[in-house]
Amino acid sequence: MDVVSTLVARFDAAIIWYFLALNTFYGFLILLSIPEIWKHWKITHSDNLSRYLTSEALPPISVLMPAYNMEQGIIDAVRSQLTLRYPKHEVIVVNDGSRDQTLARMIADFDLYQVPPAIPHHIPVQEVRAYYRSRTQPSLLVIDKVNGGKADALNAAISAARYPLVVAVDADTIIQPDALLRLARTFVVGKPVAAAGGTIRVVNGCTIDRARVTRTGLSEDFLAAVQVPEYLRAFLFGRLGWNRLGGNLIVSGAFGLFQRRFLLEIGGYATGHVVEDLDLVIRLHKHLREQGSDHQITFIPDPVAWTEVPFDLRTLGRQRERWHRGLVKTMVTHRRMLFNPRYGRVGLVAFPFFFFGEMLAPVIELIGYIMTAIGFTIGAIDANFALMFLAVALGYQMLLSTWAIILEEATFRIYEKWQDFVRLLLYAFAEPFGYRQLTVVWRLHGCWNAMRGLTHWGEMQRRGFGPEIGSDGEARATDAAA
Amino acid sequence: MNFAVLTLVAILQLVFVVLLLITLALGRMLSEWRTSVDDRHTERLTLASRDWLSGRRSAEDFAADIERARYSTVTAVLQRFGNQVAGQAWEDLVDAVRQTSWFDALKSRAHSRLWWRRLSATHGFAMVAVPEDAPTLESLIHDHNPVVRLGAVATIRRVLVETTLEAVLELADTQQRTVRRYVLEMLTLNQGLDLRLIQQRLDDADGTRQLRTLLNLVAGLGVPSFLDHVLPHAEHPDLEVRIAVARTLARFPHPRSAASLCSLVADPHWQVRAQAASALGVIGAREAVPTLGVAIRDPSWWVRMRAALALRRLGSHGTSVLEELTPEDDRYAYEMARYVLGLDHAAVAEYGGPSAVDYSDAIRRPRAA
Repeated sequence: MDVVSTLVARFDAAIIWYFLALNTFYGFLILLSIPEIWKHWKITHSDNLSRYLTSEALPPISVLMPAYNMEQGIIDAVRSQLTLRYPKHEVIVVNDGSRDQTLARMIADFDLYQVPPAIPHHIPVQEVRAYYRSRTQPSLLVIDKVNGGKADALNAAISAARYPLVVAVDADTIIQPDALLRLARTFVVGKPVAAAGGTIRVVNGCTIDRARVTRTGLSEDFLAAVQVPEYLRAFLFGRLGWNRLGGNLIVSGAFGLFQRRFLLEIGGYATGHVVEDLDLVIRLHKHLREQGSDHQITFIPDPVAWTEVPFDLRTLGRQRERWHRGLVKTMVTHRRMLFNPRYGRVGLVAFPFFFFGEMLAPVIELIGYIMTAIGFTIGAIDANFALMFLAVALGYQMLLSTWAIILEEATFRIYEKWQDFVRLLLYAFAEPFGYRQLTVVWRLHGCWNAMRGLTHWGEMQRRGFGPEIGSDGEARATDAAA
Repeated sequence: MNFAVLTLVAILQLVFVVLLLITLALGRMLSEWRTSVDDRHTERLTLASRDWLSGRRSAEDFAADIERARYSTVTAVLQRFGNQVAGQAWEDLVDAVRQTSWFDALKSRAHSRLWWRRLSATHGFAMVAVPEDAPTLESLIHDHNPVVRLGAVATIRRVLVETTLEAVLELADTQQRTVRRYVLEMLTLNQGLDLRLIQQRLDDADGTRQLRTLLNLVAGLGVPSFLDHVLPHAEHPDLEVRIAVARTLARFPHPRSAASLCSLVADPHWQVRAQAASALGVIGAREAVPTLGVAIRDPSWWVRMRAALALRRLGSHGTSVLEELTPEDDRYAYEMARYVLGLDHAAVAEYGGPSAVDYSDAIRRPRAA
């Protein structure tokens, strides 16, 4: 019994150290994020974006938008992309084998006409049925193809893009009108950038008019609102901190800018991945390292895109399960990067963090719960100690969330009403009680499904931005991944 | 790990959380108070500036109002009115504003150790700089922070003496394409740019980087007298210079431009051929139809597309060439011809307009060892 007690106690101690190390690293990311957000805030605050609007200096951009069964919102979504404030951009919509009236609606609304398929196929994709141009919107190209999933649709759009920069967006993501200007500004500053991601914010609770956010607000729905501190943490200090470490591994698939040539060099998005954006960025990091390129993959906080987060447990669970399943698959696929000095800070810091700190976290957390229970049962763990540890664990999470809210308040401060601000704080404090444990369960489910080799997307229930509730997706459907 | 350590961590966390909450609440209140003060100042200054615009208040009185407002508020109001007012009225205001404490703060910010203060100084100078500020502007153009440099470049709209021109061209030479284009664009906005000086530099330039910069500047200026100074560079050994020449010649619709572009359509590099084909369409060079008829059979997809678009832009002479192509003749040329013939006029204009392409973006130079 003594041996078992000792083992349990040592195991628990190891988990505590893992937990402290992980949270200390988060604290380190917070520290790193401060100068980053300060820099961006100062630039954003003082810059006059309108001077770039009339400039021909900014590189033209191709906006790539896959669409699957989006008949309800497709017209507003395309119009909102076409009217983004940018000197020169085209919009390429890929109808990924929709089984509803998505294409028909576009043909009618934009007066589309079919053009001969003299467009290069740099990346192999599912059969393209037709290319359409618009008589009313010269900068619109619509590609109609057989369903192949989001990655396949994006690859078709990358091949057809005419411009050196491409921005991948989801059809159900609302892009702030000046977001392209803000993303491309990094090129005017002269930084060698291979890819840049913007901030994704939660649109639930905001007022939408014709695919534009006209008033910001926090959702009344608990489940939607409790995800806001999560998004703030992920974007405002997570990715900003990684900027300083040179190892941003995520450029959101819902809104990310890439140099087209780099995407072509790595063969575009990998099909068959459920989080194709993470896989793409890791392959891009590898490619840049192998080529000895000094181009960076960076995160810029002020360009904003809005996404609808799940509002019911079932959908949220599916989404988180899919994200984690994709993370596991990507980490395993690229496991050779782990502690590989050939990939610099990405291989030595970022990848190990995602491997041990993100991928294995739910497994270790589960083991921790089990060992604590065993420890209690056999008397190897003191109850006061366990409670204190729990308090510290919750405290860490509250601190991180509060700090993310501070960053938000000190800079962009989109929730202007005091009521929203107070509720945001309350949600940040409520998050560790129950919600976090649920995410652990979903992520464990993701690990399990990854081991089983599942590759489906799962059905995503969405209310949509109009009055009707949209439901998109089945297996391999085009969907938003924040 | 003992209980005491955990307790200490928990206490520290609690203290931190409470401190953060207090900071958050105070920060929000402070921010709201500052915003309301700024709004009041902005409103007052806006009214004062309207009075000044309508002649009910002198520039000196307006400047006196400025004394009471915060630096950033004054800058914002001046920026707004700077976009609406020009000429002597604005210069009178500049004279008055330069006597205020706001301008003293501006000068001290220009030499601050903090980059964001220097950046804010560039925004101020972009509105109120005069030639005597040239040394300060020059140092800002040479600033080690790229954001400050970029802000300083905007000041050349107001002040461009030989030393600042030198600094700006030097900056353009050393920067990436996007920055270079932006810097040169700012130069073209300056009404007092000495064109003879630019011509002289273009004739004397020997380095690739200098030539590339000057040709891009000339393309932006579009002054007809530059044609003679551009054409000699069409045979330059560096492809980026030849691309720049082809792009620049798109601004000069002249038979000599067309002749030079026709020879560039036979260049060994596809980027030059594509740029030249595009330029031939932009200048409407009907004499180039036979050359473009050959270019549509080019091995490069981009050259074929540019040649086909150029032929479309040349009207019936060009479209007849496209219509006569058959699959047996050249399948790829035929496909491209069908594609471009299928586009409506708006799409052709959008695809093949003057600023549509810059194939210097597509150059891949080997990395230096």
